[in-house]
Amino acid sequence: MERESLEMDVVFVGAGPANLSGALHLARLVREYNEAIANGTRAGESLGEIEIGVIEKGASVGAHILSGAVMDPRALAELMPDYAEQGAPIETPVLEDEFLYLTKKRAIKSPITPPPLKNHGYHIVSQNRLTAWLGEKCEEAGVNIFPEFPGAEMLYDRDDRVIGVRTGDKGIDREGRQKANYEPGVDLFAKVTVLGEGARGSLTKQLSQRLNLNDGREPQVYSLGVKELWELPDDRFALGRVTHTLGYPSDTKTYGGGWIYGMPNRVISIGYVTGLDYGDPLLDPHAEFQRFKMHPFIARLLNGGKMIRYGAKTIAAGGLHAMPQLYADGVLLTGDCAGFLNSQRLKGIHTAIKSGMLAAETIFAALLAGDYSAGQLSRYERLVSESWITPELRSVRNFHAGFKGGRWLGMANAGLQFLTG
Amino acid sequence: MKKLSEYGYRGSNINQRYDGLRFDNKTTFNKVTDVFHASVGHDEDQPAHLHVLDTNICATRCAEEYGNPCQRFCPAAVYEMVDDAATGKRRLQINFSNCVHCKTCDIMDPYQIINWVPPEGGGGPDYKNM
Ligand SMILES: Cc1cc2nc3c(=O)[nH]c(=O)nc-3n(C[C@H](O)[C@H](O)[C@H](O)COP(=O)(O)OP(=O)(O)OC[C@H]3O[C@@H](n4cnc5c(N)ncnc54)[C@H](O)[C@@H]3O)c2cc1C
Ligand code: SF4
Repeated sequence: MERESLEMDVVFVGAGPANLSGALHLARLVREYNEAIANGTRAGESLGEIEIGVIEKGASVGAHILSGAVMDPRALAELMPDYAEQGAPIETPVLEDEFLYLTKKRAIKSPITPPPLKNHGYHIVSQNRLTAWLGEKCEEAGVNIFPEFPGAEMLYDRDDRVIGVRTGDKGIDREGRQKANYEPGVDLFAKVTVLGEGARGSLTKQLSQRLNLNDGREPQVYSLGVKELWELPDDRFALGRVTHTLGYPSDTKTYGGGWIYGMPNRVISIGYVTGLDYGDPLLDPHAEFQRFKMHPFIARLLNGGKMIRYGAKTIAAGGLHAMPQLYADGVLLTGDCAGFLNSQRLKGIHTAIKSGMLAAETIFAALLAGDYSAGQLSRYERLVSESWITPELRSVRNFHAGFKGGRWLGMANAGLQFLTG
Repeated sequence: MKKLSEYGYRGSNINQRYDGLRFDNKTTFNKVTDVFHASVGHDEDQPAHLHVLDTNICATRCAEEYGNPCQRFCPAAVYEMVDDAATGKRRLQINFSNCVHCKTCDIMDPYQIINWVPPEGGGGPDYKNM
């Protein structure tokens, strides 16, 4: 069977908040520009039809998306000022903030929430639902979304310029033989390919090794979040309440913390994050989460409730200095695969959305210039450094490192003792 | 990650760290029960998408030095050391259809020989409402 190929203008790999925001913003910039040319309010030549595609390995948009999630709405409001009217699935505004320090038996409530964990004005969301909705908005704007198409390999020309992506084969059996339904992967050629694969992207890894995008950067640091959704029998955990914990069950050398978010219909999102720079070879992040739930305070909360969903996903928490070079010839990196997350606030949705928008602005300028070289696309790094993302990330850069030495826990401990007298 | 010996562990029994951890199926669950609630699906008749470049290391060096930590850091019970009836030796079994695409193994394996690649399109978890 012949391998098919398809020419597009821009291909986004991964339908997460970063790339969907990028695709939507780009479609809009192109449409507004073409309209302005058509009605004479702007001089120049129309860009014509720009083909924008998004490929996603999951069975549907959002199927592989897992998050907390408390979202800072700043970026979504920039992408779509009327997001509420447009039906963005917001579960509830954050109504209460609570910060607990867990000892083995007790939960000590901080009279104030440390500023980085304050969530007033934010929204509790299911990122699975939010992403699925963003996917619909993209399709309304003329973006083509292809679920069930994983990007398997980058395509390069002779000079190592990225010219697209090859999707994975279908219908290969366990021995590597072709089955009756065999279909070779498709070669998607594009002027610009955008990787928004989330933490530890598999293509991002190939690409950055081949083009040395990590040269001179600090190694990336990761955490793993293990999460369940629970249905509680009554209103014991208030809708819109956001609880974060530190302390038990993590040992003092390991970064770790819990979250509980109150969603509608007596459902809570509960989970535990463990820093993957831990030392103990017997540590098991899933077991840490089970222990967290066995803490008397948490066990009481869950008593009589029902676990309804489970999942786990890694988080890139290295911050500004661990970010790779964000561009190369014909390619840009957005969202978590480029390390845009704010690890101190455990928030990456807003920075992912913003990075996608800045990538779109970069690509739009490249389309106008007809130039997709690294030099032209380096504009993206400039836009990132001039946006609010950079000061936000700069202020937290050594956060995870502090945890590693057990210092932050010590600090939090001391702080709480001070506060509680 | 450090070696078992640096923590003074004898063998890799997790009770050395998790004394008293139990799965009561009410509040706490083992990985297999939890993963059931991630609605994971993969066509089982495909090559494993977790590429382990050298599985000889598993029963020898890794068992000795780290006690096969893949069995612990993977949150979906994908990696399992089993007795191979044919050879009488221990070997790594990869239950790839459980994989929730978290990428922990690609990051954590101490010899950096696990490579996560995407499985056939559509495979993976279904994180409805997550
Ligand atoms: C446990 C946990 C809790 C979190 N809590 C919060 C929170 O409370 N607030 C907050 O703001 N942020 C939170 N975050 C972070 C937030 O979820 C991420 O920053 C955000 O999802 C990043 O978006 P993204 O688009 O970069 O990547 P992702 O959301 O990871 O999306 C990437 C998409 O690309 C697809 N993909 C990957 N590789 C390929 C490929 N090769 N081919 C095709 N498709 C591919 C994936 O299937 C996925 O759909 C949390 C993260 C975790 C894991
Ligand atoms: S990606 Fe995550 S779930 Fe899949 S095998 Fe690796 S550690 Fe396990």
